[in-house]
Amino acid sequence: MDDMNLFNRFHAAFEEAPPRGAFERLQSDLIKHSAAPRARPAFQMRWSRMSLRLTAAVAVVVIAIALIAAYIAAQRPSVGSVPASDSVAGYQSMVQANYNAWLNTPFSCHTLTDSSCSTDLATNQAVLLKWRNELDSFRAPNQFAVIDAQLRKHLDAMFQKLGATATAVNSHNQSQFDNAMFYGRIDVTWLNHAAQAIASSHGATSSQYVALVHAERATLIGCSSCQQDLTLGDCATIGDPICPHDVTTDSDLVGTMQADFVKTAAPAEFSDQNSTVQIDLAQADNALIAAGNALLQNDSAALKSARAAYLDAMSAVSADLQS
Amino acid sequence: MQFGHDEVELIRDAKAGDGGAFAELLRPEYDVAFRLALGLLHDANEAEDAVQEAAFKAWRRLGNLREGASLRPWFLGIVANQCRDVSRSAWWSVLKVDPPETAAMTADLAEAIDLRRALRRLGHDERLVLVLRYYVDMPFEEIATTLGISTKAARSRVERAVHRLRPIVHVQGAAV
Repeated sequence: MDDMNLFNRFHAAFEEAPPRGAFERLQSDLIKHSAAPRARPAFQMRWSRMSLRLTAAVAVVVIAIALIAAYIAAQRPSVGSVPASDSVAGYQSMVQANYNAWLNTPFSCHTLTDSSCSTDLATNQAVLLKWRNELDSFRAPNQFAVIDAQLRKHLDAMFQKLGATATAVNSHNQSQFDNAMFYGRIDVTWLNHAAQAIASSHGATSSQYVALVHAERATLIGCSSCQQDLTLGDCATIGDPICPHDVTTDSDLVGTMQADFVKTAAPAEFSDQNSTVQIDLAQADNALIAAGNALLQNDSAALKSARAAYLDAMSAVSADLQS
Repeated sequence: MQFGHDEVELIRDAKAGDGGAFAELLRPEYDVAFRLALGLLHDANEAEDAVQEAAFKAWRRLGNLREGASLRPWFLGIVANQCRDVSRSAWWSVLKVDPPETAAMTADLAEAIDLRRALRRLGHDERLVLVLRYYVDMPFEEIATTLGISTKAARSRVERAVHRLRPIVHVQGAAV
């Protein structure tokens, strides 16, 4: 493998220009944050020894109280406890805590033969199962009702794909391993979008909500280069090599839109329109989950049906955003 | 490399908190920073985010840039560290999985996927020197400055990384 061969292979594998407007976005953000570097770090104040000792003592007491409270909470059975059905903040912190736990769970299973695969897959399944069980012990607040149902579906799908990966590891089946890992990204990407959106969801003013709708409409309708993706244009047949890319790309796009409408909670006068668009996006999301499963199982008829359902759902989303 | 008069002014303004001035300093470095991030992260959106994060870190640390030192290797070092942080995230590896190979896949696409997979099996430092050398097209001297090591050490790291890459890169079953 000589130098020229490597130059050529690297350039062929990665040749991709920065996304359009990338530098301009950076420039705009830097300008917006002008004078930021001069900001004094929060802990540059001078502390006396006595105040340090006092602070440390207070911190020890606070940590001890928190640990006792956490222990007591952990001892309570979750079944039969009062669901925090009306607590938006409670639901948000539950999702955030589970998402963080999942993010921090080790995962070094990159190849079929990595020694950590069995442990990592089982640990991650356990974390997802705990998240799923905690969702069951909550009744989601109204504003999260649609995304909550999708969250459960993606957690279930991810759990199954981790199981399929574990089966592939046990049976040394490389193709099954590659497939399960690849289509797992649909759920991983979606969960990333949704969990962060739920955790940071906040009420929007009418003008903020209208601006969001305009932005989403521009993404869907104004982007001529997206149209091939948005219609799963390369997924007419099961063997099309670009189809897996289309499904994952669209899943990312739909997940982003779902997250946007959750993060920017609609004011009361837009709640009906908001529900409609969230339901239609959920239909598109369901169709993409089905398309991913069809590809995973090499099922042509299921892919055709999922593609048709996706096109219907996205037409409905487009109409929602026009109204 | 010595900074010209304009660059000295831009650095002074950027240190004083002028984001526009810092953006102008980064403008000529943006593409190469993006290529480095793309080579390490294998995803254009992740690469854009990493360069953005690195830019803000670099701006905050601009006071650490020695007078007369070149901006490029210093900034690329920060981009490389940012990419290392991103790739430490447990689920990054799942997000970066390439599509399963199909019979209809072209030889070029299969070769590209093969190289990406092979790179993922290397450590960050090995990936970094390979990307700097063979994708960012850096001479050994500049790789050395970016990594803060001697030119001889840079050459030796690249050779070791190529040696590690060789057995795991293959095209449709045939070793290269």
